[in-house]
Amino acid sequence: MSPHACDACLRKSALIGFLGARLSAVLGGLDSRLGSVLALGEAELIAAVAGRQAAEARRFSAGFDAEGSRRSLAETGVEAVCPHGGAYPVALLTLADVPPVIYLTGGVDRLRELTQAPVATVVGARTPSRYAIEVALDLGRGLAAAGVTVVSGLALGVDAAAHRGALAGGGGPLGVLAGGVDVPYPKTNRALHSQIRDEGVLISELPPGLRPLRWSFPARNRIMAALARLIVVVEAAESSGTLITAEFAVQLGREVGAVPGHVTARLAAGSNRLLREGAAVIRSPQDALDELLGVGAGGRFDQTEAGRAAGPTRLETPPRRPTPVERGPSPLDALSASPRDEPSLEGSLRRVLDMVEGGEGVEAIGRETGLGPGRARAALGRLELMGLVARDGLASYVRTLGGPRVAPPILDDPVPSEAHP
Amino acid sequence: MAAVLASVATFAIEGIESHEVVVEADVRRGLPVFTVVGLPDAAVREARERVRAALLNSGLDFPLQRLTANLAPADLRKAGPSFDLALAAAVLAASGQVPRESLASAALCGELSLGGSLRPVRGALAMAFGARKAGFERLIVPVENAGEAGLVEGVEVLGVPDLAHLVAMLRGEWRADPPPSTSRVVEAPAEGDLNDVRGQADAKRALELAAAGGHNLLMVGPPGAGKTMLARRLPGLLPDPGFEEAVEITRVQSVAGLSDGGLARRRPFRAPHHTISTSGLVGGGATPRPGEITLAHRGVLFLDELAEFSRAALEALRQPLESGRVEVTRGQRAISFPAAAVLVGACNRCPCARPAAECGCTDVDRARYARRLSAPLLDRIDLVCELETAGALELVGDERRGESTASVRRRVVAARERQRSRLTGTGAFTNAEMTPRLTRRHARVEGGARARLLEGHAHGILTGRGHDRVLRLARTVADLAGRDRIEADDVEEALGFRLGAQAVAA
Repeated sequence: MSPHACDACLRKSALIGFLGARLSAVLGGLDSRLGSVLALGEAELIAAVAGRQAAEARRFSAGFDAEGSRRSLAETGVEAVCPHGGAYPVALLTLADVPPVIYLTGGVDRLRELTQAPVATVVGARTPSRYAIEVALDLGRGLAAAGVTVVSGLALGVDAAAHRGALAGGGGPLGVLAGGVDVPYPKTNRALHSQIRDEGVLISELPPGLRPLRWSFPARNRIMAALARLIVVVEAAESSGTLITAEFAVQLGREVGAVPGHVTARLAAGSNRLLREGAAVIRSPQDALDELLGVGAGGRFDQTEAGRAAGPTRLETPPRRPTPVERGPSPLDALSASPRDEPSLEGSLRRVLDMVEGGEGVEAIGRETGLGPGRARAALGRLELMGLVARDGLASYVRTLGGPRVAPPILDDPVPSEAHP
Repeated sequence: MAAVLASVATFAIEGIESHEVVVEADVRRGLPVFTVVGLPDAAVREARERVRAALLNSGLDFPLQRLTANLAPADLRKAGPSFDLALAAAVLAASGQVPRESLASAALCGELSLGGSLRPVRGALAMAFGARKAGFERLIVPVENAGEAGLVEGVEVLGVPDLAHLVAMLRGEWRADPPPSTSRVVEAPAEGDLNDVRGQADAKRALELAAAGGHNLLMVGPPGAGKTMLARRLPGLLPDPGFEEAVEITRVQSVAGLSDGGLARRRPFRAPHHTISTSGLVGGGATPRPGEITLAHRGVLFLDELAEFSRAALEALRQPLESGRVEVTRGQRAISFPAAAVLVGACNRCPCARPAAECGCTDVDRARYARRLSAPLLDRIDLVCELETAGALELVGDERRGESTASVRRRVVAARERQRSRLTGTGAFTNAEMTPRLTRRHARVEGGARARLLEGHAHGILTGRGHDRVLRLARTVADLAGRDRIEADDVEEALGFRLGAQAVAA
């Protein structure tokens, strides 16, 4: 039994769920009328979208049993909060169409805790490059370790990687779903869904049991945008759902940041355009923390030996950084390694790593470094053991961002792990 | 006139084994008909016409009486034309044209032409093995098969050109020449030299490792990079087949009708097209025939465009790659083919097959492509190498010729010799064939090498099976370097060449 949602809000929310299919029919997918339609009162909403189902919808609304609805919520272990009760995420009140009810798993206290901490949303393509997955993992991990709540949408690709990173960083990720909170979508993220249900919080504006609808994806994006102070776009092609989230964020006055991609990469065209239009450049969790909390509020990278050794390049960082003594230990100290303070490498390993970063193949690496094929492979094996490179597809290698290895991202159907012989 | 009965021995081929078949001929008074019973197929039934015409055209009599031939055992399916000669001999003996005792300890096989001359048959080598096993003193074969059948010691092989000579021999009026000498001709097979291929050092190193340890290999690279050219050169890197192996190769080729009539001198290289059926690849059919993996026995099976092969065909390869044999069950009979081949697969690095810089494939696209390759098959592949586009090579302009086949082969042969002496009596000949138990015994790692492996496990880049694969490959790297001890560098190189777990999982 949740005391946090009032009867009227539950009824409005149930009505939206009832009219879900009609909304899809009227609005299709992305439609600029989405916000104004959802903001309508019940009678107007029925008049606007119900069509031939109007009488039925009115009967549904009139006969709505709030107590029964609370009971069935209690049975499924889902809680509900509305703007009139406590624990409703305050950030969502800035929306023009405030969701009447937020359904959640993980407990209202945990939700309050997560939404009162600094919040960053990490979004990106569902079919990203390996590079984007590495970056999203790193951002999720670094932000979570710094005590930031990482919000994402549980989609494939970048969303899943950000969630996994946050879990690895010890944070409780906040997942926003386009369907009911008890409906894992897409199915391939089932394991991730249950992991976040156990360790974090899942929220949705649709009542439990509902499958996502065409309009509910952009609707979910507006919630992700509203929840956070900073929205980081990791990789987005032009005209992608990720850019819709960024658009909502701009309208709501949130900070938008983007991770730079190759200028020739079709997959990163949208995120690169955001940078051109003035989005903050996000190269690391530290950059995101600087945007979120102000420069120097939570960094640690320059404390390390490598940071000091790097010397002159560090002069670019603003000088008003407090000394370690002033600000005490940073939460990021919990991280065991970061890409920018890799162990010092002997000459040939360094050259091999540089060439992997440059996107060179194994053949070229063996030739250009003069190592020859066998020793080039050995160097790559060594770097892989150090966690500095990883296999990319069948044959190539990519530079990873170091740090403790997170379970490799599962991109599609999970495959049963092989048995020990 | 009382019935006259004669019986003559021959062999039926099943898989690559031969089974003794007794041809009985019964001649008695009656309408002149010739009946063949005992599960003959169409080709065997047609033998009646060939036998009749061949006898008459050779100046012999075809008895104008009721003739019945029975092929025993009657439950074994008899296929093909190799029963012609035995049928003719049985008729000759039953009609008193040759002394019956002249066929007492002999077996015959051969296809007849209408003119009476003999055509070679498939599986002569397998029949010679069968004849020795069944205790025959002599095996009479078409003269073209004599060299092949003569590889088997303990059976006198008599090559006969035609029916007239057979009769003369059985009557003691003519003697067959001894089969041609089977001494092995030691000459390098001319399949092209490794130094014809420019660059591609990574792939060449991988080929050397594959040859040295018998490891299956996956070559990844754009079209036109020379994958087929390189794969064709792998048999040349392998040591020459020893006599036993050569006989195994010849036996398979003989059954498949690919033998040139003597001992196979080079290892087979088979490159079936990706549209091949499952039974074409692993063997099968109503009368089971060897598949490509068997034809590649003791040699190389090259599958270009691995991702285009049917999934069923690739999955069917798993068991033969594991055990070195194919088991085909037909009705109640299980037939086993040898299938110990090194597999070389080739594919593009992603579905679009363009060079890395122009590739627009996402991780999902590539994962999907990798999944077409069938995880169980990739699980049997120890090595992966990467090829560059030919264009990149021309730009770099490395004019030096690489190492020749002969010089790489010297290292391979030395490495194989180390393995042979280490693995004597274990049932395995190469590192790739080592069971988990043998791997633990013979690929022991200590110190730095062991630390590397443990690191791999700690980072989650090695799993149980992956661990053994890396060990076996590291063992080969050390063998090639002539070292007994596996060093940390060897483990690192094996890690670098192994197929990423991600690709296997994908």
